Amino acid sequence: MYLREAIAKIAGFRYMIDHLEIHSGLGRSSLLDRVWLEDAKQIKAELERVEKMVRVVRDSRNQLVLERLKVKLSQVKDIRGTVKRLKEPVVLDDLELFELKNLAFVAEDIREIIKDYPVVDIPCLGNLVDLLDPEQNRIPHFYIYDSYSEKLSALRAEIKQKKREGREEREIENLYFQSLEEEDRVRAELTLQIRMLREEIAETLRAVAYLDILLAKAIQVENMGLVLPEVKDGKKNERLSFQKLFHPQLREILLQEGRKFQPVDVGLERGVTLLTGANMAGKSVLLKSIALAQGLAQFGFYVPAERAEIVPVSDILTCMGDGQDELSGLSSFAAEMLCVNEILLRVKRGEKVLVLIDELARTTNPTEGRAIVNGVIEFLAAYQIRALVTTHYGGIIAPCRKLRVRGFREEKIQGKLTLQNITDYIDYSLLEDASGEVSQEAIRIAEIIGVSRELTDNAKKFLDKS
Amino acid sequence: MSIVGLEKNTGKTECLNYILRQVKDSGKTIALTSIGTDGEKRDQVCQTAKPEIEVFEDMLFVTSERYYREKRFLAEILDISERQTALGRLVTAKALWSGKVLLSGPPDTVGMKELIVQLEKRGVDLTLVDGALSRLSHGSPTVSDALVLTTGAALSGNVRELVRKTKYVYDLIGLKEVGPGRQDLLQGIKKGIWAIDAEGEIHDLQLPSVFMLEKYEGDIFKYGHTLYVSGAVSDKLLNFLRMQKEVTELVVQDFTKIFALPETFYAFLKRGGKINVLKQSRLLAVCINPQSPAGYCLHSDQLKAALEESLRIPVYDVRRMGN
Repeated sequence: MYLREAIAKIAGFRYMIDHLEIHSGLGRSSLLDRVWLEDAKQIKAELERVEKMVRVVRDSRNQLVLERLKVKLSQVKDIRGTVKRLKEPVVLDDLELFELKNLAFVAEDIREIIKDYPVVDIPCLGNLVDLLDPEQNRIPHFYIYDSYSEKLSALRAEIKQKKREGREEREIENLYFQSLEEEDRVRAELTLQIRMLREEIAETLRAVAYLDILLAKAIQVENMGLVLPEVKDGKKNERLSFQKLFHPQLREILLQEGRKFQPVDVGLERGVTLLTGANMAGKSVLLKSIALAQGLAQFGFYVPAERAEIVPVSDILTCMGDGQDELSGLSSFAAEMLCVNEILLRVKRGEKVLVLIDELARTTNPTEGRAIVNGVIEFLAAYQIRALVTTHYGGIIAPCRKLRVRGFREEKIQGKLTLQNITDYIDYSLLEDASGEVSQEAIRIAEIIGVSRELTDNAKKFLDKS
Repeated sequence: MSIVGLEKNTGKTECLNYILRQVKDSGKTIALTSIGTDGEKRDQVCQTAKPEIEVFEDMLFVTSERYYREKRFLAEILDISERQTALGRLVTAKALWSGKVLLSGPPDTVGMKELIVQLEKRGVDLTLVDGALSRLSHGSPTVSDALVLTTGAALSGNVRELVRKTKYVYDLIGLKEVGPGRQDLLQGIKKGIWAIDAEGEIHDLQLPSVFMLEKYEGDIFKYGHTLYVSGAVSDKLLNFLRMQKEVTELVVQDFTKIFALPETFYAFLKRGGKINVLKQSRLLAVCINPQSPAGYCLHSDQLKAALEESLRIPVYDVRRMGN
């Protein structure tokens, strides 16, 4: 999976990417081409490089260097097209030569700036600089300089002289064409020599883009308070676990409303974990936060938590019922079942995945719904798939670990309860609860958020009858 | 500085070439570009022969990739823009020889403003902007500090009509600036119609569209009769204001925002209406081309005299001066 796909798939991923401070167009496009890392070793190696960069960013003595680096990165242009053209028997024109020279200068500057910070190796393009700056002006301008060819130099001098003397156009024209021919010969020769440097140039573009990405990742770590996850190799029965896990985008939205995001501790062992809890208790947010943290780690990002242990997987399979299915003409139940079916097929194929399902079978009758939940859990458990399934149904007997969100703490209420402050009295933390009892707070919450008494009292009447 | 042509074939290019010849030995660093595409070898509208822009040694010029490759003299590339235009990216180069080039610069005023800032950073003292077909927008004081107007037989074959049309644009350019207090107050406003009340407070009238003025008649004047229009001023708006019992004092960004017929404009003023601008433009000169693309030729001296009498500023026929 490429990062560009993850952006569309994982809620909140786009927010993270949009808030990366990438300085070059080249960096931006190669970021989207980064691939999902599955191998723990690869993830660790990537994270180590980010860690190095984080140390550089954290050190206040480096601020000036970093500002200079940012300016230089913003001057890098995406000339991968030119580099690709070098594979073919073409002659580069002045515009392309100018851009290559520019890259050589900028890359040399970047090499110089980061020479004391061995985070990324940038190849030396000194040879390219020599080729394109024959007069050693050390300014990134370009034309076919006189010093490339004595013949050219002589022709140009003659043309200039004749122009000054006000000679006839035709006379000058002939010389001018000769000078153009000679320029073309020089370009062909330059191209030939540059072609031999093609690998270094391509590698420089990759390295500079990578440096841009690393720097952006490190700055984001500081800005958002992310943490370096510990990456497990997934061989033993290791836990996927987070302390004070949060969702940056939601945290930001809440902050704008003057409210606080409550981070949550959560750990998932291999096999299925069932999560119950009242409405508004943050179950869906928890699922989304886990998906985001896992996804970020697999692209070598720090994760939004205070501590994190990640077990790499080949994909995150989610079924969150985001309500986009009406458009495809399926009922929400049918869409959900097809989604679950897809998950089961992939599990059967032996894929090592993380499964996150929100309120499974909630849109059908509770009797069959409960049966479906049991069935899915038993299936996933048999394959020892790490999964988190939320539900409002009681009576789940299939083999799984059971967690409950503490939920609404009425005893803590001070003053009047409103729709605005209700979340202040919800305890989002999780506790083990083998009983599998589900909370009976739906009507109470409806009351709190201001649903008419007439309705809630009516509902209670029926509750008593049953 | 912008060269603004009131019509195609009013001698904009010749005027620019004339100015370039005048400034080339001034010791100043000059840059040259155009808004959008201009300087075609043959006039695309009338297929009449058209002189190219002549760049002199050491001048900077900005044109599209395509036209850069077509130039016929030696130049050094200083920069290539990231942004694309219809004819490719923009190349900023320095002429090492003099020679002719087709210009094609940023297609819009926002891009032009950015480019001028960049050129200033490169040490350019004066940027000359060649205008495209009958567009006044780049003459806006937000883009250039001063402008030269070109007019001529292409605009009208009748001297009186020509003078009348030129005088109109001249009058627009001459609209007076509001005081600095109001300037500060209104400068940042980019949207809508605002009222300025007797205490000098401003109020957004929240009109959804200037095309539905009649419907909001009651609301428009609730804070008085001084209005700031951030967008375009149309015939419809001026006529509507003219019909009101009380006269209106109108404030607009600059003269390029007025898209009304001369008749409407003058009728509004005659009724007692006032129009002021946030920023006034500086008109340096008017150049004439007595030759029309249709073939007839007005009398240069007569046209010059008629315009000078009406406008009371110097008028030049650069072709005759060039010879």
